[in-house]
Formats: sequence, structure tokens, C-alpha cells
Amino acid sequence: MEFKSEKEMAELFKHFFQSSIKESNIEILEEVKGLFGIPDCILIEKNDKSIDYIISIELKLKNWKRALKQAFKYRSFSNESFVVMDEASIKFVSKKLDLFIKSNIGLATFNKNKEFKIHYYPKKSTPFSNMFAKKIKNYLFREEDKPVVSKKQLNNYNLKFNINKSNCLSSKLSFYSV
Amino acid sequence: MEVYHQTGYRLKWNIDSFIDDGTGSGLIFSPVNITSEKLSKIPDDIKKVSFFDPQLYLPKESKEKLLTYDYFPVNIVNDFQTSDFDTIKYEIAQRCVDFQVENNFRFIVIPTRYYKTIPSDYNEQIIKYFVEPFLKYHSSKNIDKELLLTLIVNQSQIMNDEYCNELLNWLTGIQEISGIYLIFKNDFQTKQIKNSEYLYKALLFINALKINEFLVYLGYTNIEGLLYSVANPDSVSMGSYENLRRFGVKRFTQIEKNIPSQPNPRLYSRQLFQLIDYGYVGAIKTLFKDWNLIFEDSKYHPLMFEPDYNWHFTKPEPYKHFFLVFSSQVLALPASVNDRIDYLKDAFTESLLMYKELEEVGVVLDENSDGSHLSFWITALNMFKKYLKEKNYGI
Repeated sequence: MEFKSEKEMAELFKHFFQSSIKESNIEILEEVKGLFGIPDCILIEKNDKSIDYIISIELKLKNWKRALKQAFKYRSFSNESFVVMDEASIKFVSKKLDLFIKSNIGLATFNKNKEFKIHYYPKKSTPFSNMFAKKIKNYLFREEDKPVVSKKQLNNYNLKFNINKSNCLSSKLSFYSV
Repeated sequence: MEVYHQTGYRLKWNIDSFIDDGTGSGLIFSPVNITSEKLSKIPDDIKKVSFFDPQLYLPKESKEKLLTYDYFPVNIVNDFQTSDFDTIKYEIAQRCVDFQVENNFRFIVIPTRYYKTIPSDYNEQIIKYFVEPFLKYHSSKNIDKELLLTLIVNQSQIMNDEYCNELLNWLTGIQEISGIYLIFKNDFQTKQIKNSEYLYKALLFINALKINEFLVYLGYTNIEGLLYSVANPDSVSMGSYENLRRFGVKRFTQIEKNIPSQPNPRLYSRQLFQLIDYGYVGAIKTLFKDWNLIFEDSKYHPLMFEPDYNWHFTKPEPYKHFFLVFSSQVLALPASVNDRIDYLKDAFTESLLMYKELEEVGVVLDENSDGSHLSFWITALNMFKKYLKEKNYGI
């Protein structure tokens, strides 16, 4: 069964992630503006002193080309960037897998049964721009309702991603690779 | 062919670029962005090579800075209504010409009105309210500066051959004007024009004006100004923000309907004929080893490529870099139309190859930073070349 709308897909995907990720050091941000593009979801692994890893996700029902362009933008501030398509569209998209590989963008599918499958897992990479990663750092503090970290903590955060170090986020996501 | 700065918000950047970097032949001043008092204080050396766009596009609107110009209708009659035009047209002409003469601009520009829907008696209205009063005053004062008539040609008009012919017939009947300050108004959704037929028709129109010995000063052009060069206009323009590279009337309305969103700064690439969203700069630099070939060196280049450079639309460097690189690109165009066509076709083709190389290393650009406009531009050049050949215009 296909999703009727992107909104429906996003809602279900959000529930799926929230129930799958229980670690307190992982933040899930939605539709963060002011970066390069607006990802549907950003997963951030952090500790007391640093943002360690960022994964961005673009959800799309059908338009994989547009999704690929958007997901590529997210590589500016992410260590990994994924396009998650409605599983019903995967036949068309899988023929273009080489484009995802070339651009190092992950390709995954999701369905109404909350089945999440990663068809291509991208290589870990350092974000292209420090400026956007800094914006994410500021965003973590700026959330008005619930400051995620204290200002003191924020100032101490460093943004020197170490992509060789193992991280919880990648390990969790890799679990869904097919 | 010359290039003029289309000025607006942050005029200082244009003046700095003009003086410090020697970019452009002059400026097109925009009264909606500077008071008459401040404009009068700009050095004469700058003004004498520049011209003034009176911006009577929406005469009933009364934006603050426009009100500082005494030719503006609400300064002549209280509670101005368009029906008052008839009684104040000579006063408008006199004040507007006097202002341009006092400031010693290069030309005297006859303004025009903007109509969302062109009235059937458009030509008559423009003659009656603008052309005739301005010519009359110009001649009565024996002013030796040449006259340019502002002309807005919208998308549907340029695509209509019959209309364009009528327009040309009408213009050629106005003997006293030396040239046209020509503004193409289009409603394309992408930042670069991706319609070869439209571009071809625009080239034909410019070409027809030139054949009729008009000076043609193009306003509000974007990178396609380079393409328009093959129709041999006297100048194209370059502007900082997008509303100076594409004509729209929103900036002349008293209350802009939407608060303008903050534009993403864009970095001009001479090789790619594109203003690339700054968000891609890091990706290109990381993935493409010859990235220096894409972003040409300029005095602003080192600062913009520092790791902590704060890309923001209020920072002048990307815009001044654009002025510097684009104006040098215009100056480098071959002198003859034939050579220009071949030169640009080769350059656009090479550019497409570079886009291909970027794609090969995994850079995925969106439709406003990619090279998808260039195939349309090459087609327009081919169409225009064929036209010139058929008409035996020098090819």
C-alpha cells in the first residue's frame, strides 16, 4: 500500500524513529530551516562536548530526482545524507542507484508497515561546510520550548567530526541495510 | 558593448566597485533607493557617465524616497489620480528633465508607466503623457543631451511578432529620441531563462532597434546579458540582488505584499555562466580538484574561501566579485557579431562539459545552480545566426 501523502509518510516515519532511537545523546530535529535546504529529519549524535555525527533525511513519495538534489545539499552539514522513498516507488529508483552511489547519498525505502530498508548505505564523510554545522549547533540551543543543551555546554561544543570513530547513529542505521 | 550597474539597495557596493575596481561604464540610478538630496551629492564624475531611471512605473504609489523627487506626481497635485496626468504632464516633464540636467547625467531618460494589462491605446498614452511633454521641454530648453525612452516589453509582447512590428513602427516614428532604455519583463520561474524561443525573439527585437539606428541600453539583465550581446545592444546591466537582475514592480509599491525573503548569496562562475548558490561552494571545493577553474580568482576570492567566511546577503564580496568578473567577461567579447556568436557558443559548450565533469565527481546541483539554461541559450544563438544569414545581415 502506498502512502497517500508525504505528510502521512513523515508522520509514520517520525513515530518509527522515535520508537527506534531511545539513546539520550541522539536528538531528532524536524524541518530545520536556515540551513542549505530543509531536511525532513536530522539525527544528531552528541556528547557533553561535541556534536559527533549528523545524519540528514529527505522523504519523498515519488520524485527521486528532486530528493537526490535536496539530499545532496544536506551533505553540506551532514556526515551522511539519505533519501527515503515510499517503498512503492523503489522499482523506478533502483535503476538509478548509480547516481546515488556517485553522489554518496543513501537510498532507503519505508512503507506503511513501518518497514525501513536501506538499499545503499553511503560512505561516512565530513560535512562540506563548517558554517552550516555551526548553525545546527546554534539551533540546538535556540529551540525555545526546550533548550536541548545549556548555553555553557553549547559554547564548549566542538564541530570537529571524526568520521573514523565509530558512532551510535551509523551503527543503528546500518542495521537496516539490505 | 558597455555594461552598466543596475543600482538599487546597497548602491554603495556598485559605487565602490565602479571606483575601486573600475567595473562598468556607469550606473543606472534608482530613485526608489536614494533620496534626491543624496543623489545630488554623488560626484559629478560618476553621474556624467551614468543615467537616471525616473521610475514613474507606478505613479500613484508614493514610496518614501521617491517622494523626495519633485517630479513625482503626488508632489505636484494632492491626492494624485491617474486622471490628473493630463493636467500635470508638462510639469512632470519639466521637473524630471531639470533634475536630470542639473545632475549632469549622460542621457535624459523619458519615463514610462507599468501596466499589468496593456491598454489598447498604450502607444497613444505613452506619447501623450510622457514622450510629447518631455520632447517639448527638451527642445524648448535646447538641451544637448540625448534622449532615451524607457520601454518595458513583457513576455507575451516579445513573443508576438505582430505586436513587436507595431511597436517598432511606433518607435521609429519618434524622431527625436536617440535610444531606448529597454526592459524585458518576464515571469519565468527559474533564475536563468530557459526558453530559447523567448531569447531568440528578444534578440530579434534588439536587432531591429539597432537596424533602425536606436541606441539600446538594456536594463535589468541577468547573465543572459552576455547572450543579448550578439544583437549588439549598446549596453547590458549587472545588478547585485535578484530584483535588479529581473524587472518587477514589487519594489516600487508602497507596501510590498510579501516581506522579501533573505536571498541566499550566490557566487558567480565565469566558466559556468551561473550564479551558484553559496551552499554548493564547499561541495565543489571538496569534490572537484580543479575547483579553482570554476571560481575565478579575484581580489574578493581569498576572503570568500576562508573556512570561516560568513556567507550572507549583507556581505559585499560575492556581489563585488560578480561585478568584477562579469564586467571583464563583457569586455572580453569579440567586437563583431559573427565572432561573438561563435565565441559564446564555444564558451557555453565548454561550460556544459565542465558541468558534466562536476556531475561525474558526484556534485548534484539544483535547477537554479546547474547548467540547464545553456542548451536553450545555444539554441537561441543558432536560431539568431540562421536568421542573420537568411537576412544577409553580415553572416
